[in-house]
Amino acid sequence: MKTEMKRALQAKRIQRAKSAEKSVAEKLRILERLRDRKTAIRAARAARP
Amino acid sequence: MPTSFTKIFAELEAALEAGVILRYGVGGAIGATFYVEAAETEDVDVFIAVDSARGSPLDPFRAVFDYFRNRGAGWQDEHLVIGGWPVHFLPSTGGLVDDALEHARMLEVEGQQVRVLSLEHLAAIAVETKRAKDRIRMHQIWESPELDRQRFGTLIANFGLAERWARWLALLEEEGE
Repeated sequence: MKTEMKRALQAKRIQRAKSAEKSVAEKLRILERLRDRKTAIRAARAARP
Repeated sequence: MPTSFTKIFAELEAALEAGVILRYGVGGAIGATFYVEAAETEDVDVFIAVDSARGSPLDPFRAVFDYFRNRGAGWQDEHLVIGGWPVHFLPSTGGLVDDALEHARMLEVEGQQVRVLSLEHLAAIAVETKRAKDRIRMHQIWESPELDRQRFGTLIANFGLAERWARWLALLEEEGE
């Protein structure tokens, strides 16, 4: 658990450095894009025979 | 182009103005996005206080759900869907959440006003809820210069979370090394 948590935190730090300068609106747009991508992946998986 | 969140925030403000909800505050990952980096999420958590005299004592949220459904909100997996997002309405359970709603901050994004729980309350609620994802969020918040640690410490003390926070802090320091 601790190793997983450390990995997750490291990823978060990288993400944080990238998004430090972003406005709230930009961050919300990122969340929308992530959600849309996930929805598209799920739909594609569901459509597989 | 405005985000789909603008629609949610506008609907929440309208519900407040209509008196359907007494108070609200956006929390969870979306609330935290106002202060720290964005964290992927699939829903929007909104803490609310309702007027219990307005609806059935057995189903106090019915009036809230009916209000949003009449304004075009969808329904999916027992959650309202507004602006394409499932919105979780979380009842005020008293104590910390009541205090969080009372001190929710009025913020603005893309010209739309929205009430968001303060970062200190978001942090204290994360400690109270103590899920794994809350601990990851707490790392972000704890390292953020936006956090007023003194105010956070007061909340922790006032709402009986000191022991739990002490354990978390030890883990945060160990994991953050």
